[in-house]
Amino acid sequence: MSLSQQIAQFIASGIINGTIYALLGLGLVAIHSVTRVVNVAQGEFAAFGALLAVSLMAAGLPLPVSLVAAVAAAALLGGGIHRAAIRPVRNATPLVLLIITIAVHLALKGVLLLLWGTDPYTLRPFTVGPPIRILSAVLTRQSLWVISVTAVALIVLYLFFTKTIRGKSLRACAVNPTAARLVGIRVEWMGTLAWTIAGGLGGLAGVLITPLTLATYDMGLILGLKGFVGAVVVGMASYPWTVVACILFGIVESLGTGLISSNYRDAIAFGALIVVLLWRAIATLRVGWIVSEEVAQE
Amino acid sequence: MTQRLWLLGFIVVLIITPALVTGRVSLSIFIFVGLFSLIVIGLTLLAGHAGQVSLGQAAFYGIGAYISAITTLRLGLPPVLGVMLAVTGAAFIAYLIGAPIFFLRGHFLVLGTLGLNIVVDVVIRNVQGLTGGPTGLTGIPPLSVGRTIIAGDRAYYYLIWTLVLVALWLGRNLIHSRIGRALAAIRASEVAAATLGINPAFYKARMLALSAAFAGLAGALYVHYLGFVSPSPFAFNFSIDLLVMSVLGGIAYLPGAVLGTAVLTVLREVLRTIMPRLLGTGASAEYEIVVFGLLLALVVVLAPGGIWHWLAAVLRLDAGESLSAVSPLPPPGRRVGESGATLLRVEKLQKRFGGILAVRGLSFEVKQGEIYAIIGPNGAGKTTAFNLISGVLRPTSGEIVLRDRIITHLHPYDIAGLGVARTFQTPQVFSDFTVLNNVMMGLHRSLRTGFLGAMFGLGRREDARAASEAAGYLERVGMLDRAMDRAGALPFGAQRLLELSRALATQPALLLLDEPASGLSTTERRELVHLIRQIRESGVTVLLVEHDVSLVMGLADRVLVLNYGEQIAEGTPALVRADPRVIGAYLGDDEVAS
Repeated sequence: MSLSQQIAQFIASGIINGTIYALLGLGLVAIHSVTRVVNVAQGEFAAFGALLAVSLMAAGLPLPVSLVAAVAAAALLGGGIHRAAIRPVRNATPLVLLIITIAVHLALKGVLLLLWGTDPYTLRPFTVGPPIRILSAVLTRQSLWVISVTAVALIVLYLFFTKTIRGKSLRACAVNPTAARLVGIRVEWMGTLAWTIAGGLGGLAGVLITPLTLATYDMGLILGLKGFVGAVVVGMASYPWTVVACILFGIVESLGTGLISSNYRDAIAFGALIVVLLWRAIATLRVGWIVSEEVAQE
Repeated sequence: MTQRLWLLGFIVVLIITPALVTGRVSLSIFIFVGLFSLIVIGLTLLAGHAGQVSLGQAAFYGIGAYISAITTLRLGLPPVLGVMLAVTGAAFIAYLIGAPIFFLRGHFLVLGTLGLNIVVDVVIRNVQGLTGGPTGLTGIPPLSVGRTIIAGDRAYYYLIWTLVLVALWLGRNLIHSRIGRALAAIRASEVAAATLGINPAFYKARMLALSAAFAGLAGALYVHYLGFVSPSPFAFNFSIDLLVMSVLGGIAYLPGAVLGTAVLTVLREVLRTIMPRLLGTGASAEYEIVVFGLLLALVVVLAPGGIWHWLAAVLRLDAGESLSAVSPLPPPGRRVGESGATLLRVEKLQKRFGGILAVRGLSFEVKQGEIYAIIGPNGAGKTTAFNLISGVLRPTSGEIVLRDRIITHLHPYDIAGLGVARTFQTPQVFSDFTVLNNVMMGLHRSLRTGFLGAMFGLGRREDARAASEAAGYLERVGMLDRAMDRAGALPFGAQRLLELSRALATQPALLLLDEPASGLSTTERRELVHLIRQIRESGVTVLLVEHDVSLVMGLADRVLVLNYGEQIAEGTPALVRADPRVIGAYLGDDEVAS
């Protein structure tokens, strides 16, 4: 393979990975914007969805049913965590909420370990067939599934946020919870809804990626963190830009890994995270001390 | 005094422990509890007092370990120097990361340090030439001072536990100093702290560096104690263990750090004996995380104070400050200002929030020594203008000049440093502080004790003097009898007065009062007017935003009227009162207004 072919291949696989990160990043943005929580347990939704889909398939359910059920279960898990662990202490400081999501991350990882053990699992690709050549990159059919399913999910999400009253309420809560409460929006339910959406998106990421890699009980943290990189580049605020940032991050990671060394894959990814945080910080300094308008609204 | 007794008892137990345990394994557990305690003390200072969580303490521990191992083994440096390099190296790396990240004002440190932990782990494993890769390094020399070699479990036991006690002492001094008060103020209200001249990022970054220094020290001691080092103890999982230790012991309590470390280390040993019997030998070590996760969740939700909080209640260890009587010092005399010179100039100030222009083209000048008022109906952009002047918000365009200095793009703490103090529409007192300590926060900038001095307990005399000065400010507003009350328990009007005293304690040239009369009773209003006049007499220029027109008209030298972000009139109260556009804005008469 020539270098240009290699690079095309790296970029292609970077886009696929980036798409997965985007699903996780969107969930993080949804949770952060509505409940102001940085959810360390975001990746566990992916691990849970993936492992559940594998088990449902093994139990004899057809693939589409398994996938849908796994994603739905992950969504319920997300909403359930909000009701069980976040809502009861919603007046706690951000520090306590953060520690709770770390605890949730550990507990979920532990439960996954108890249920599925340390073995890696795989899921068969959604459709069989030879890989497809696009330009000089070779893509598996599953890769195309990843991209197209994500695209559909994004369109649904866009329509939800712009066309439905629920979606608009959710955005209202993100902008100003107090004002949202005053116009009769049940902010706490919106929090549960945001966590449910985040759970579903995480589960979707899990079932989409499993045929390409493998599903293990501890796959979540790294995936979730990579979604976080993309989300924080754009300030944990914008859904569409989170997607763009995650895909770009996927490409950078893939090129870095391919051209330097695969041993350094996570070091490159999280080195990028630190660089991004520093870059955001410097940008913040330029714009002003307080980016949000919390004080202006007092 | 019971506290001293308990501490003495603890030290005695520490001293005789090696004589009581037999066999190498047992004492090494005590050594590890000590080592981990050092790291957790740092984490508790960071999380409990700077309010920031790090999931990278294992990385700083590892950085310290490898710096000391590599410099002594490969460069042949004396181990003591290696330890010092380890401490400063870990602190330096932490500071480099923390200083910028803390400007993000959220909980981004947790992800940044988590990322760092993974990067450090990968780098240690892969830069084999330097670190020995996964197998690590062996033959690291033990610590030595001159010709005395420190070797053996007992020597390290006493060394490490002495350092733990020193770390506790340093941490305790720090918490009870000017620095500790500033950290508590930042946790209570970052905005209020910043307008008193405190840069939150500066303090948090130094606390992160301090916590990394403790972790680096533990790492260096670890390698010289064992004589070898490999990457596995420094992985991300250990950072989580450390956080669990800190939360379990009580995140706000330094003794809790030692307690939590001891409990969790013992618990882990117990789990490692029990788990394989219950679940088979397979992945039993992995099941620890389930237990730790649940433990963390339970403690945070059910007993956020941790074990120490509970224990302190049972043993009646009262952490309450015993404050001796404070004799108030009169506030310093009036400063001589050139009356009539321009103190503040605001030019074509604009602020846009999304589609709304909250302040449009605001221009005015405040002269030295006057009382200048901005009035206007709700939503006129008064508070936004204040936020812009005090640096809390940054204008979309326009210029703000204080004396001859452009302050448009300065941070609130820098603007405070130039002599601008402010109050808030909703009083931002530090609720958990005493009234006296609130006012002492106003004096913060005039005190000099730094981080190191504070850690070694210097600056107590300075603090005592500051307390007297603060009492002086309280006396001036008639609140001296409440000096030891909790600020959050004060009635609304008293909180306003307290906030005002705190602002005055910064000795401002310009005092910004954001709706000082709102929520006050008629009597309180009268007192307020009197007080503001007094403040002006003492040489402070006053700029106030107010809703209450009659109060302003009787108090201000000049008045500016804002309506929907636009200024519609300026001048003496009499002049403004007669202006038809002002009448229009207040009575809603469109014809007059147009």
